[in-house]
Order: sequence, then C-alpha cells, then structure tokens
Amino acid sequence: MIFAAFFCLEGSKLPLGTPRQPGPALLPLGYGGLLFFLAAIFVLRSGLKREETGDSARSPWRGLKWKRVPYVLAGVLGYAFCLEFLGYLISTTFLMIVLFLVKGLRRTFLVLSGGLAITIITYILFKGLLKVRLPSGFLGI
Amino acid sequence: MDIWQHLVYGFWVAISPANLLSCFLGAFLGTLIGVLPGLGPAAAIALLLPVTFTMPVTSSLIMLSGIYYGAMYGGSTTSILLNIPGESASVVTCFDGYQMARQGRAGPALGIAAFGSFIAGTFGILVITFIAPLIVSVALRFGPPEFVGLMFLGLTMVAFLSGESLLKGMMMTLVGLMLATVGLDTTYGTQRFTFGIVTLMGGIEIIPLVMGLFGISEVLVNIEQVVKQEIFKTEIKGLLPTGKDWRDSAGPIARGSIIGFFLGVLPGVGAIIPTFISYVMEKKLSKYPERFGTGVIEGVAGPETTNNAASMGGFVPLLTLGIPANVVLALFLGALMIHGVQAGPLLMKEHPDLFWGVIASLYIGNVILLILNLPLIGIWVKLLSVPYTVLFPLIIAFCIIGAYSVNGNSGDIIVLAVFGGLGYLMRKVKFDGSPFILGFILGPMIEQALRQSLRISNGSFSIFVSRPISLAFLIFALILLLSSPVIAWMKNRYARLGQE
Repeated sequence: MIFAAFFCLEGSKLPLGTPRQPGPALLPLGYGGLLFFLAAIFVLRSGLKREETGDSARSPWRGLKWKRVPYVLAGVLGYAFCLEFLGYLISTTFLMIVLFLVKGLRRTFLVLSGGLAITIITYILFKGLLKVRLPSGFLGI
Repeated sequence: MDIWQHLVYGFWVAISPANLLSCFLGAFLGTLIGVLPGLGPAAAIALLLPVTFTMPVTSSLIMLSGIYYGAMYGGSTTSILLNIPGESASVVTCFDGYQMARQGRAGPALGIAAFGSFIAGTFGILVITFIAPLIVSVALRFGPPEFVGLMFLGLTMVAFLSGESLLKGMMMTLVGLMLATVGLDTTYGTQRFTFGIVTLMGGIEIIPLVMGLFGISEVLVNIEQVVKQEIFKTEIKGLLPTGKDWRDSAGPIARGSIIGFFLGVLPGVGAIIPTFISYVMEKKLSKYPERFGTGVIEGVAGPETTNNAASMGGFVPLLTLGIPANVVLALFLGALMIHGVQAGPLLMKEHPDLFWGVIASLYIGNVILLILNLPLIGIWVKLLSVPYTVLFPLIIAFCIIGAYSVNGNSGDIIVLAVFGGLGYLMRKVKFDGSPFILGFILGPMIEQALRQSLRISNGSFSIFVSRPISLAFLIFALILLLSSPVIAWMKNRYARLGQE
C-alpha cells in the first residue's frame, strides 16, 4: 500500500494528458490506484483470516540460517560500490572470500584458493573468451 | 511459399555451423542446468542472456530455446536419482521415478523419461509447424485494441493460474506494470520515477532485474538451508526400456504429448499443472491405481512427456502473437527486444530466418538431447556431487558479470542486489514472480497499444468493447477474474459441509 501510495504521489507530478492524448501519468496513476485498492483488500483479508483462525502463521525463517542472506546482499552491494575503483580481479576475489565465509567455510587455504580460482576462471571465460568489458580499477589490471 | 518450403528454409538456417553450435551448446547447458538442483530454467536463461548479446539474434534464440527444453529434459535426472526435482516441472517425476531407482530400475526410468520427452518434443514441433502459420494469418488482422485485449487476457491468465491466490497474482502483475513505466516516456520524452538516478533514466534494465529475481533469489533461498542432500547410490544399467515398459508407457506418452502441448499454449499454465493432470489421469485410467507412487513406469512416462510437450506448446503464442505463456518465454521476449526484434504476427514475415530457423532448430535440438541424455547420464550424476558451497559463489559471479556487462555500469549490480532481495522476500511470502516479470515485459507494449487505440478512437475507451475480437478477449478475462471468488466460495462451502 505504501509503495502504491508513493507511486501515485510521484505520478501526480507528471502531466495526465487527455483521453485522446494520454500523458505520461495516466497509466502509472491507474496502476498505482488499482494496486492500492488490491493491497487494502489483501491487508483486510489477511487480518480477518488471522482473527478467525486465532493463530499466527508459521515463520518462513524458522529453522533456517537466514542471517546469511543479508550478508550476501550486503557483500554484493558493497561490491557494486568498489568495483570501478578496485577493478574486477581484486573486488571479485574479496567478494568470493566473503561468500565462502558466509557459507561457513573456515579453512583459510580453501577460502583463499577458492576465491582466487573462481575469479580467474570467470575472468578468462568472460574477458578472454567472450570479450566482455570488465573494469581494470586503479591498478589497471 | 508453403509450409514445407518454409521448413526447408528453416533447416537451411538451423544447420549453418554457428546455429548448429548454438543449438548444441543450448541443449548441453540446459541439460546441465536442469540436472543441477536449485537452478531452474528461468534462472539459467537469465544467467546466460548476456552471453547471447554478441550473437546474431537467430543463433541467440536457438541457444536460449535449447537451454529451455534441455532444462526440461535434465530435470528428470535429479528427480529419479535424488528425489529432488531439477526444476519445478519434474516434481511429479519424483513420485514413481525415485521409487523405481530404489528398486534398481533407475536405468529404464531415465530411459523412458528421455524417449518420452523426445516423442513429446517432436509431436509438439510438428503441431507448431502447422498451427503457427494459421494463427499468424488470423493475428495479422489484429489492430492495437485487439492487442490490448489479448495482453490483458494474457496477464489475467498468468495472475489467475500462478501462485496460491488471484489477488497476489494481480498485485504482482501491477507491480511489474508499474516498474515498466520507470524511465523515459518514449512518446513525450518525460522522465518518470527516475529521481535523477542515471541508471534508471533508460528504464530498469531487464537483465539485472531477472537475474536478481530468479538467479540471486534462488541462491539466497538455497544458502539458508541446513539440510545435506545425499545421492541415492544405485547402479544405472539398461537405459533402454524393455518391451513391457514400452507397452505400459505408450498410452501415457501419447496422452501426455497431446495434453501437455495444448495446455502449454495457454498463458500462465506453464509445465507444472499439465504434469499433475497427466499423473492424476494416468492413475485414474490405470488398472492398478494403488501401485502409483510405488515405482510404476507410467508415473514417469506420462509427466515427463507432458512437461516437454508443454514447453513446446508455449512457443506458439510467443512466436505468433508475441505473448509469452510463461516466465521463461517472457525472458525470450526480453531477449528479442534487446536485439531490436518485435515478436508478434509480423515476426514470420519480417524475420523468416528467425521464425523458421528456431522451429527447425527445435527438431535438431530434440535429436541432440536424445543423443546427449542417454550416454551422458553417468557424467550428470557425477555433477550432482559438486557441493553447493562451490556452486553458489560461481552463480553469483555469473550474475554480477551478466548485470555489469549490459551497460558497463555498476549501478546495474545494485539493481541486481535489490531485485535479488525482493525476489527472496517474494518467495518467502509466497508471491509468484511470473506475473511480475510478465507485467514488466508487456508493460511498454500495453502502454503503446493503448495510446494508439485511444488515438484511433478520438479518446473513446469504447473502442475496446466495440471491436468483437477485443471484446471477446476482455469478456474471457472478466470471466476468469469473476470466477476466482466464486471458486473460493464454493471451496469454503464444501469444506464446511464436509466438516458438518
């Protein structure tokens, strides 16, 4: 509902146009309004269902190592910010090491060699064979 | 030119060395991905989409098609040997396939899955060859209002059939449609919802979005699991089914081919629903229904045939109308758009090499798969022992390079991470990604067709109900929308009566 309301609010700043010449705001406002309405029904229905059954739904995170997820996402986001400066080889090796550690791999040699191996394999495959442009970073490699 | 001449031309295109190699690579990679649990065809295509950028559009589509039906083939291996479906359409194969493996009959189970898939694939391709030109000849009479009606019906069907509730499906469709409006309005040149962020000015890139939604989110769901999977140790011998196996499987294969193909044509049905229908039907028709689930070959032959036939059926609305029947084919549509090709009725006329080349490659790909699948089963089994600790950083590295390579912009990696997180949350709260991605891909087309329609009618919305074809599409969509609460009400009523 918040997303739909925000979308409508931002959409209202755009020209609506006329039925003959629909402006850029017509569809976003229509979609946003409809989503707000459906989301309201969804929230109401979920609330009523919970009241009827009297119990709360089982948590989808119970019994799982869910804390790994934010670490992985933070790693990828951090990677996005460092990539241009550090270059592909350095930043990817760091990210792979972080990912191995998140998964629970603790042996230093395996973590380091695994991180390096994946970086080099993907570098050869994408830059060497498929000619994909990858950032060189401050070291120029 | 008649169909046969077109088909010969298609084969001429498909057997060129580059296209033949694309077909082989697609089938091989698809089977590989289908075998690996935790990486479905949608994620696989999302991962490999950037690789196809540098290829000609026909080779690119041939390779993507190979990945799609290859994954459908490969999914059966893990279902039979591990009791884990390599992709969702192979869930039903687990019921009897794994039991057959436990009884030492993994070979015939894998064999009949491969032969059944080959027969279904070939049947599907033959029907596509003859049916597609007929649909195109009708669709060429469609104007913008008919396309608005058709796309509305397609989105409604996907929302109706995906996930657990229509409401959730509709909400996801709308979110997809809304995000499709981000970026430059092509008619007015106005920036919409970009907030000055350069990465968003050209719209949200489809590659990082699908990679995040399907690739990264799948990895995130898998890494939080604590269960260790063990391969069922069995000797795989005698891949060729016996005469009795063939006699028992002939009916399920024939029925599965027909049901799978025609259900696969309908948007939103996908390959999962037909496999369940096939299994239930075979059980009902069987002389010994009580033995289903204990390792009967019909329980493998029917569903495995059906899922391949359904994947072929999905090509009909995509190639003829430009409407993707499922999320994987929506990615195909995205790939065509990246190459600047408009899918739809004009595809056959404007790009005959692409249209007939892809159809002919389906024939070749099916033969390649049969040749690949049977002798390489031993290698696929060995691959299953690769630990996920090694696999998941590799998948993330592929996603990152894929997202970055689109524009050489690290902002796209942020988009990847954001949609990865969103996809993970959607999986957790059981919101299906298919209506979202379909809404996102069809959004710009709907907007354009709607504007054209309103211009034709001088701003009157009645154009959508005054034209019979458009009206028929809208009525059908309305019936679907209205039937959902009625079905839910009836279910509740019967449940209450049952309790009383």
